[in-house]
Amino acid sequence: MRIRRQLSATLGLAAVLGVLLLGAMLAAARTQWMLGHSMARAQAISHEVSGLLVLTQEYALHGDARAAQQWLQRQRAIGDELEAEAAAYRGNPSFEQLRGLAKALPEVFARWQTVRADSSAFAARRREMLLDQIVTSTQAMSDHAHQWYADVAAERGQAEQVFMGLSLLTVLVFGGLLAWLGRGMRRRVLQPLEGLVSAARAFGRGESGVRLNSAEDDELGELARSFDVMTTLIEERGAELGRTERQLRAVTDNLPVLIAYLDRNRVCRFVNAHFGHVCGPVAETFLGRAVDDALGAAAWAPLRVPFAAALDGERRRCEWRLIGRGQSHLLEAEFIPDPGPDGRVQGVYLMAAEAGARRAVQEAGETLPADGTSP
Amino acid sequence: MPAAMTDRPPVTLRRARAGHAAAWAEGWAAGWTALCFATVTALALLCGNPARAAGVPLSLLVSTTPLSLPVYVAQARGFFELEGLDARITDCTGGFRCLQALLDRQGDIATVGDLPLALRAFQRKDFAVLATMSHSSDDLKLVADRSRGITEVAQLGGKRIGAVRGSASQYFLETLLFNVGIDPRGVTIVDLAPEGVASAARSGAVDAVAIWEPYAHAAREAWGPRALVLPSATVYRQTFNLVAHRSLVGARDDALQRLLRAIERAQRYIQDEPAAARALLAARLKLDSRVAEAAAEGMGFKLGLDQSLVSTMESQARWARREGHVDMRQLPNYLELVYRAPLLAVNPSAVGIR
Repeated sequence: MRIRRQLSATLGLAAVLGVLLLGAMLAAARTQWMLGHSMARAQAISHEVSGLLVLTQEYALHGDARAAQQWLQRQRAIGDELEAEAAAYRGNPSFEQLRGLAKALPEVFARWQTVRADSSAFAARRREMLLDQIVTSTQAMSDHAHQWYADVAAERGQAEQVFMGLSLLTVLVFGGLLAWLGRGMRRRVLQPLEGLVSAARAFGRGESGVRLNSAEDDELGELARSFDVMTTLIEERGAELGRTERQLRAVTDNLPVLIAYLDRNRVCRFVNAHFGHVCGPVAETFLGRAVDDALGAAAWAPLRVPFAAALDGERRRCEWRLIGRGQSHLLEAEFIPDPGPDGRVQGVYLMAAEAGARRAVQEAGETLPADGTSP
Repeated sequence: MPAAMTDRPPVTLRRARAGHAAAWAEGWAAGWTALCFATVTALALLCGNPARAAGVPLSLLVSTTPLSLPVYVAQARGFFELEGLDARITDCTGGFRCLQALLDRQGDIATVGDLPLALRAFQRKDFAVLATMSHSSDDLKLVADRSRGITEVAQLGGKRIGAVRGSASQYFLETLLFNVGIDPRGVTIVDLAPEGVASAARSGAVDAVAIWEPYAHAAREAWGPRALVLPSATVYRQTFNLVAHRSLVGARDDALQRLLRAIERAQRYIQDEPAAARALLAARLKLDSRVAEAAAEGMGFKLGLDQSLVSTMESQARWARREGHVDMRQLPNYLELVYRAPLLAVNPSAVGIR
């Protein structure tokens, strides 16, 4: 598979998983928040019910209208709180029992209030019965409220566990994805790149036959195959250049002309074999040395000006007397500038031939009849 | 001018993938094997309490009422065996009879409502309440024959009303009458056995009956279209409890804990599979499925020891004393009849009595 496609697929998968996990975590967090809200409400109801019990006993003992009024207010508050949670907790046994008791209690309380004024024996028995009902029912409400709170707390604990589980899952999933991505990157990108770098370095050191031979159908496989093509072409061209160089060397070495190449700093970069014939074995030391150092200042002096002119782009000729192998040679030297791609002279070709041979040729030319007949 | 290249042996660079891949695969396989083994071992260790004492015998006296559903579920689903109990169940009609059988040493555990416990405590205390198993505000019903001119509770004055004396049905009836302002002494309470309710209704011996399910349904069937279930908006929340003989207290706590754990499993099952639980109830009590569903509707199944159990029994004791159903003047201390230790061991948060 293409690396780009694999990366896109991985990022897509990460995005989808991220959205799903984020959605699940948000839902779990929202559940936790709502359950926390319900817990607070259950606690409030428990508190109200405790107050209800106290007010019941207060009213029973003293018959205060204030106690009765507060009792009714508290009971109404409990009813309102329970109705607010009814949709969420319908079906919860403790909640339903609590709600049922809360609904039935006001009627019993109202009967009790009515009976309080009656002084008959039956009314007294009835009063006690109703009071017992109210007290035991209120106690039962307290028990149910506590149990409902415990149920909600247990639910919230589970929701917290779900949230923690989702958080851990998110870390594991994305950690796993990163590890997988890292492994993939290492196997499919870094390792091939390391191979490519090693191959490039080996090629740069001059090793031949450097090939990656990759069969991968991804981008780096293409790069590796392109590298192989490039190194093959470079080696072929290098071989071709080598052949050309050898041919040129054969020509220049066999010409009876002194041929040298000097760079801008007067360093000899090339001397042909005829230099050796004329100057002797010392010519083998010319390469890489400044020409005035190689030939000697006296031999170089007459060449200084034409060399400088050639560096300026002028082709110059001059006579040059060179002492080599104990013989004096009168040479005619020519300096030919070598312009680079930018037009600036990067070096100078020096060609020098025996002047006597040229004069002899010239003189031979002057004695020849003008009409071209033999002398 | 480039230097001349010299010929050298060709070099081919390849990635050493085979070795890396094999090592990677071996590592993954070993890791997953270790993880699976650890998970299975942990699950095995965490998966509850293996029965150390297989087949600990315990005889249960169980009232034939929908409130006994957790026991029926535990029996049918094998939860007793799962907790290492050899539970032998004997049916009895009414919690008050189960309690009597318990005190006659015909069993170890009885299912009993709060009222029989409250009344029996005046005479003896050789029993202990382990936990409330279930509760209902709707199990007890007042069924009337409308042909006797009864369309509401307020019309029961002077009528003959069947009830089981000394049971929750009598308490329920008198509470209801007090609520609507009728003196129970002004009605004729006909003492019935639960299994005799239907025949009493058919024979016309009673104008109404106050009785628990499924006998309330039997009364409705006996009266047919004349039957009317009167609204009983009382606040009597009847509890149904697991009661042990005093001889088991401290001596067989392990068995008592196993019993409570089995009942807890049954209650979870009832919560998770309500339809299946109701089907089980219908089969066990030989009820129509709709009757079983209606009977289970208003019930709650949760193991606990709440303060309201004690306050309810005290309230019932005061009623019994006030109305002359008992002779003794001093109320029993019901706290002494509660044995918290087994439930504290099984589910501490369910114990609300300090």
